[in-house]
Amino acid sequence: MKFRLPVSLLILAMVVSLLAAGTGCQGPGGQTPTVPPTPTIAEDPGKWDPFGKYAEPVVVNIGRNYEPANNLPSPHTMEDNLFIDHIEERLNIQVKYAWLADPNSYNDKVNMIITSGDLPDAMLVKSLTQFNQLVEAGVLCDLGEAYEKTMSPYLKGIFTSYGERAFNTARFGEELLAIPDLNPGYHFAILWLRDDWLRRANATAPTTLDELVDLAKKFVDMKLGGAGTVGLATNGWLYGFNNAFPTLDPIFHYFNAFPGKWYRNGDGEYEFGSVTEEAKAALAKITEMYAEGLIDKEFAVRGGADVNALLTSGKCGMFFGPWWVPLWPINDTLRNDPEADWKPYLAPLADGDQYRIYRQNPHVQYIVVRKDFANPEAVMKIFNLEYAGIKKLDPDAGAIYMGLGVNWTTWPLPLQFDYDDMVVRQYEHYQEALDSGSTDHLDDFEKMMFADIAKNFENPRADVTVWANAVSRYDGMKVASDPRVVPLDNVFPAETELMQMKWDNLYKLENETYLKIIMGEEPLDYFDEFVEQWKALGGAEITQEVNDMMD
Amino acid sequence: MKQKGFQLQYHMMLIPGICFLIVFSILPMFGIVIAFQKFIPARGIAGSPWVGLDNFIYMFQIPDSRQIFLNTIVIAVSKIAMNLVVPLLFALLLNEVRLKWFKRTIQTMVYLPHFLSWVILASMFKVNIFSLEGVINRGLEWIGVEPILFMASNFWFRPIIVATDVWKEFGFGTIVYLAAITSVSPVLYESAVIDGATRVQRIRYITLPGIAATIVLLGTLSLGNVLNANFDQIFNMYNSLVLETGDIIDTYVYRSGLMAAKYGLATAVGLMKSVVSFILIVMSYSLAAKFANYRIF
Repeated sequence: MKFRLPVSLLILAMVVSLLAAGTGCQGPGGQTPTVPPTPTIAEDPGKWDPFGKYAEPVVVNIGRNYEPANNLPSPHTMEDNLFIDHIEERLNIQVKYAWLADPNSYNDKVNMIITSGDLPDAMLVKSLTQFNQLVEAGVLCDLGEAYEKTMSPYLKGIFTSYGERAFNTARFGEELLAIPDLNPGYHFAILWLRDDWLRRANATAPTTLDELVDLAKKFVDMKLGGAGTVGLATNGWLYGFNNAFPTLDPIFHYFNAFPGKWYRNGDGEYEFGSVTEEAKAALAKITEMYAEGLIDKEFAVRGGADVNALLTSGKCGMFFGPWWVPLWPINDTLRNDPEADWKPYLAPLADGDQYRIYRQNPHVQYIVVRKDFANPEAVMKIFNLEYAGIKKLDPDAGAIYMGLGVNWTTWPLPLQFDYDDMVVRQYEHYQEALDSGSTDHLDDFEKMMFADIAKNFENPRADVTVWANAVSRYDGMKVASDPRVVPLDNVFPAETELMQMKWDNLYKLENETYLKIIMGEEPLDYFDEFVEQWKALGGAEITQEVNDMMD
Repeated sequence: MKQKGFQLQYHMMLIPGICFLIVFSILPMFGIVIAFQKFIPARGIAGSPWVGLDNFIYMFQIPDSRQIFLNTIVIAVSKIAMNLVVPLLFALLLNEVRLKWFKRTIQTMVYLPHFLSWVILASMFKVNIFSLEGVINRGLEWIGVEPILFMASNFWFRPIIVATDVWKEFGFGTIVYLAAITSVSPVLYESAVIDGATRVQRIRYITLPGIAATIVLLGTLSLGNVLNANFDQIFNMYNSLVLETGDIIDTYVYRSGLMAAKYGLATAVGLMKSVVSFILIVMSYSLAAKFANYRIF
């Protein structure tokens, strides 16, 4: 008798879930839900409307990180604040947190959730590997319909700005298994130079690769950073993906080499950029520069912190990094030396007027939804209202906590959506403000930044924070927005089983070979031997797989 | 009766330690079944497909596996040998020092690095000692030798690994030997002095035979470490250029298992290492029992 009640409850839950299957998220092979979803008898008229209010309250349990810098005014908390109240009032959605995990061990928490299978309705995932594990386990909801019907036109517009990359890592066949964040492009490496060194060397900023090499030679020969001056800094990976620094990307790109990237070559085949003739040509130049002492002698043995220390120590006056490096780490150079005057440049230009870059993968984080969750469209609605508030599109939502500096990630679903060309848009706003003297077209954040830009024009480098904001937002974004930037149309193939098995060995072989050639332990022609070996060890098969996958 | 109750208390005191051992060492051992699976974390051990010996076969197919085993054994055996000889010599020298406070101070000082973490020591060695700007290259410059990129050199990497490890640990070994030396009867030395034996002769014919059992014991017990080249140290000191001479089993397992998420393969390599180490430990125990009369059970 004692255990009859739970069993009958379970049966009831199964029946209810079958009834709800038409409206909920019951993909093929859906699992028996452990929690009975809200039974929806008649179609709720507000259900698919992007900003529509549900007739009956809908509860969404969210698992995400705790935000230590939320800046919420006391007594408001992450669990109980005006954002959550506003969502309930406008949408009749009750946001509850299944858990708020420590941001420092966030991936461990998600690993535990994956192993236990105890998913909340919606969850933040911060790693592609974990997301793929969830996909493989078949526990995620297809969000395709919810996105199409319920995502707001504003957010859809942002997704569209990424073209076919908008969902490239989140779509599996016909199914959209997560809403990915959208990290804007234009975070490629540009040349950062110490302008004060440039003046001391009585030189002009370089545009061609030869000029850049000559300048590095001058810096080293004149010992502008004292004994042991380093010409060009780089890390041991040599080339990068998103936001890499200090990297040699621009030198590889100058030679039309794109190591580490997949793209269609002249013959219409997809190839891997690390094993091309162009990569060999780029390596030849880098090897020459290393032999002449123009590249940091110890780059291969430095760890991350050591490299940053080199950039801020004042021993190095030249490196390649994205527009934001003044915010960190080279603001410390200015702290150590008030004369340090880092400035961004677009160099080296290939063929006179081309600065080649690769496209970044826009996705870093994902919001996934439990397979048997009845209201996946509620997640879209929360996003819609959040961004109406964050971007001040809706006066009510935008007014919440206005001027209190409350972190936008305090909204329940902390994904960043920004236009692919956010950098260009922002730069154009600042330029327009400079030209017209009016700041009416700037949003709150841009106004703050513009104030720093104006201050730094008046009194350059007087304050490190002002300088960092101004040089990154204005000078950095200006260079990154340059029309001479030509992006490669590279692709991001999903990881195949073969890749999972062999990729780390292939990468190890590649990195070892590159370093040995550059440091002179192997001759340049060893590169051909490496290519043969790379192909034999699985590279050829994987290339074939990528070609099949992409066609 | 009294005797028995007395023992029970001591056994009770063992309980926390045994619980600790069960939770952190015995229970996780069931995870070795992952070595025979294509492990998918989301499905857990119960739900992941079985692949038989695939992971082991693949392990022997990887071109690097021979190199990795070789590196591990070369580095570990050199460390064992040096960690046996250096503290012994140092203990013999220190034993001859007459000034008691001097002897004690030295003993404590050489023991200190034992307590420092490799994370700290590695960056100290990398940045301050073996870099181009480091102490050694400064010295070489002074005597007119071209600076050497020690940390990127496959010739220097192993000696550096062994030397720094010995530097860190020899103080600990020294204490063990000094303790053994104090147990040698002073009567023997007195009579040797009366017979006119020199210091070297006294070391050769009294001290060394007196502590021979300890030497053999430490030597045989360290056999179990033939496949332990010390992950902490190497992981913090190596880089892509010295993988050829510096990549060991543990760093390989870390890279392929945790970085590349090949849990099955990494567990297989780890299991292989554990099996070989287990055989070596059993061997060393029986050798120790035979030559040094050392018994636990």
